Parts: sequence; C-alpha cells; structure tokens
Amino acid sequence: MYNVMYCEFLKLKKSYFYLLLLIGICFFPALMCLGWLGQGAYVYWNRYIFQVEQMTYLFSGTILYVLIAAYIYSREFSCGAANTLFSYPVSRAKIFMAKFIIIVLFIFGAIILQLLLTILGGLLLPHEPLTMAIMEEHLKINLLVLLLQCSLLPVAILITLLSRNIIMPIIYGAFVTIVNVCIMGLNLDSVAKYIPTLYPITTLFHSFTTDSQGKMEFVHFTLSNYSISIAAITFIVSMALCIIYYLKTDID
Amino acid sequence: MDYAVRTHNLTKTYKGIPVVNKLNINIKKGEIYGFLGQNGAGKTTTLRMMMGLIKASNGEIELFGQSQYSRDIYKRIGSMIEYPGFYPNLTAEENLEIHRRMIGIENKEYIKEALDVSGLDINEVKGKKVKNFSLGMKQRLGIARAMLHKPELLILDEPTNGLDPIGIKEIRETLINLKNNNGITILISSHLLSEIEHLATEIGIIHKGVLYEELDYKELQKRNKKYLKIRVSDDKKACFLLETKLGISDFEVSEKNIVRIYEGYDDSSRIAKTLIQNEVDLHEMAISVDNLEDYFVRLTGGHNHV
Repeated sequence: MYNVMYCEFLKLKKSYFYLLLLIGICFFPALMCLGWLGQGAYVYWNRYIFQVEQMTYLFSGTILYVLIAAYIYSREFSCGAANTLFSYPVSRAKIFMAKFIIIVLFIFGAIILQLLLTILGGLLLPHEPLTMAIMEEHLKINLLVLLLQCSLLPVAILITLLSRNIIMPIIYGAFVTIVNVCIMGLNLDSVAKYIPTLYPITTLFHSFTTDSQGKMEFVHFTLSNYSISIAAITFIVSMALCIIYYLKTDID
Repeated sequence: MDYAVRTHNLTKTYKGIPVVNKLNINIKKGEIYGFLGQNGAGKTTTLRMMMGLIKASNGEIELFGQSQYSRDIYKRIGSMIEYPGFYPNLTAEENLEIHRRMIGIENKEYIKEALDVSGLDINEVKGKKVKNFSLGMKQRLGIARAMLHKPELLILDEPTNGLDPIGIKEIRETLINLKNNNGITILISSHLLSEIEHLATEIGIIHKGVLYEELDYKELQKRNKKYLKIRVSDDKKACFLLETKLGISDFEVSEKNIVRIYEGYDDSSRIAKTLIQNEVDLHEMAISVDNLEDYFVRLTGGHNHV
C-alpha cells in the first residue's frame, strides 16, 4: 500500500498540479493581507482568519478539492496509462484507496498550509497578540471542515470515474459553488441543513459569534444529527458506488 | 504440454454483439505466438481480457496452468496493450521507477537493464520528459517497461507501431533473443503479416472475433501452395489460353496481368511457348510459394491488412 501511495506522489512530480494547488492555497491569504495592509487595519485574529476561511470555503474550496480529486483519479485515463495501471499485481481496491488517501492528505496539507499562511500574513500587519488558543480553535474548525469536505469527495470522484476526464468534475465543482453562494447569500438557513455541500461553510459560520463591539468569539458548534446523517449517507452511498464502479469497470 | 496461456470458449460481447467469440487459443511456454488479425478482429479485446482489464462475458482464461488466480500472477507477465501511455511530465527513468515500485521489484538496476535491452539511448533520454519523446521512443519505452521485471510471459499488442524499419528489426531481434536466451513466452499481436512472419513460431489467426486457425509456422509452410507466377501483357487472353490450349483450370489472376498457376507448372516451357505463340507477351515467370499473407487472404477471404 505504501508503494502505491508513494507512486501517486511520484506521478505528480514536475506537473502543474503543485503550482495550481499553491496558487489556490495562497490566493485568499495574500488577498486578505494586501487588503488589510491597504486599509491599514488592525488584525483581530478571529475576524482576520475567519474571513480567509469564509472566502476559501465559499468560493474556492470546493473547486480546489474537486480539482485535486479529479486530477488524481483521471490522470491515467487522460495520459493513456490506464492499461498499465490496471495490469499491475495490485488490486483495484488498493489503487482506489491509495488515491483517496493521497487526496485527503493533499486537502489536509492545503488547509493547514493556508491557515499558516493566513497567520503569517496577519503577523506582517499590526495585530493583537496571537495565542495558542486562537490557533487551536481554528485548527479544530478546519479539521471539522476537512472531515465534511471528505464526505463530499466521493461524489466528485464518481463523476470523474464516469466521465474519465477533469472537465465534468470541474463543472460539478463550479455548479456546487454557485449554489452554495446563492443559498448563503439569500440566508436560506432552513434549506442549508439539507444540502451536504453547505455543511463546511455553515459549520464555519456557526462556530463564531460577534459580540456587541464587533469582536468575534469562538463558540462550540455541532451539526444536527439530521445533517450528520445526511453527510454520512452521502459519503457511504457515493463511496460504495465509486468502489463498485472502480472494481467492475472495463478499461478500454 | 506446458502452456503459458490457454483460453476456453472465451467470449466478449458488447450490447449483445460478440467481439470475441468462443476463442480457444493455446500458447505453449517458450514460444513466440503471433496473434494475427485485421484491425477490429478482436485481438486487443482478447489481450485486455488476459490482463484483467476487461471482464469476459463468457469462457475462461488459464494463465500458467491456473484458471483461478490472484493478481499476483501479473508479476509473471509483462504487457504493452495498444498505445503505450506514460506520465508525460516524467522522464523515462521516472516512469520506469513507478513501474518498478508497482510491480514490487527491489533492484533498481532493472531499470537500466530494461532501457539497455529496449535499445533506447540512455544518454539521449536522461532528463528528457516523456512528452518530448517521438512515437518510436515511446514504443521502445513501452517495451522496456513490459520487460523490466523479467516476466515469463510478454504480451505485446502491435509493438512495432511507429518504429522505423531499423527499429522494427532491432525489436524483432530483441524478442527472438529473449525467447532463445531467457525462454520467455511471447504473445505478439499484429495486423502486419510481415511482422509475424519473421518472428512467430506459432500463429493464431483471428477474424471477426473467431479464431480461424492455430498452427505452428512449420506446418503453415508445409500447407502453403507452390505455384508458377507469370506476368503477361494480357491476363484475360492468357487465362483463355491456359484453359483451352493447355487444359489448366487451377489458376487465378492475383493482380492485373499477374497469373498464378497451381497445376501443371512443371512443364513451364510449354506454357511459355503457348503464350508467346498466341501473341501474349511474357514478362516474368517464376516458381513461388504462398506466404503468410496469401494464406491469411485465402483463409479469411479478405485483404491482407488495412
């Protein structure tokens, strides 16, 4: 399994994948830093980091994570190496799981790196003291968001496997982003709890409150059992479909 | 008898239409098996089924005497099915490194050896991304990859596509050496009869998904007909004379003004004399033997290749 996973990293060597990923990760922390620098604003950490997280999970997160998943699963089909990949003395289930784990690791790395870059950007500006508690809170929320993003990954993977290219998943990612932005923009909270693609962003939104002086504070938030069930069902059903398809499909 | 591959009534259908139909092929260990057929005959589909890329609709594949096998059996097989695909952003060595790890080979030297055997110039490919390779180089790299782990069975689908004549000859020699020196069994599919003719010790002819014939090359040579080939100025008149004046009926016009005479050719001087006396110019006259191409055409009733 280690070898299969390591090979997934090797395949990405010298590709544009890392550059795209880096741009995706750096974009909002850099934008935020420059924006606040321009305004000469003072950094209150919770608000500063929250705004980067909010923009990421609302606008770019879904597309970026779908892109990672689609790139890794469609790679052999796009470069014609599928015949070779599926002729190895390695089960298809193992190949599928290795790719999935790599995707989760990449998304985890992207989230952590973005958090670090955001903090680094904030440190360049006039700021309130950065405490360990602030970092822990945001790390915790981001890990929860990672978990929720992972529950959605199999849907993007399934689209990739069916289309065997990167275009359809990106269209899916863009569509989900537009729907998310519209629902959040219209404040349709009653609808949001039924749509699993919104759980990462709603989790983030509900994890902070703003006091009367405009200062943001972390509050403990848990998704309703109903939403957790939907997320779990989404993951289990789409993952099962992915695995069945991956194991059964003809490579031609 | 030891077989590397056998299929029993192997069938693949797409939407009810059989692409491969009740195929029974027998590939003996240590042989070079030429799997011959026109484009679309079902060669690649058969090879894909052997490599577990597609599932058979019916029938069975036996590899090294086992009809029930785990994926570990593919450690013993090297393959290049259709176009050799690589990770274009990586170099030849990096692509082979992925292959080495996926197969589970510890020794890194195997990469260098495979590149050597394939005839790729190591200095030329060093540091060069595969996306900048010519088709011929990719083809050689595909063969290097298939041979890297020193398999017992090599399955190659149209391996000389994109190679120049010298490259084709080199690959042919490499494959013959692998068979002779290492005892590797080779299954090579092609629609190019000349390619198989110079290489195979056993031949299987597939046409429209059906295996028409399976025979060893010596047997084929015995079966091939001997004939007198004449090139004349007027094939219609020549045919008329052969039938009416010489009483020969077993002949055919193979191309314009070229006639093949399958009987009575021992008396070639009489044939020549008759033709000339009746004002048919005789440009060429030679005893010939059917080659694989002729045999294939006779068997399938079609064209030799596309």
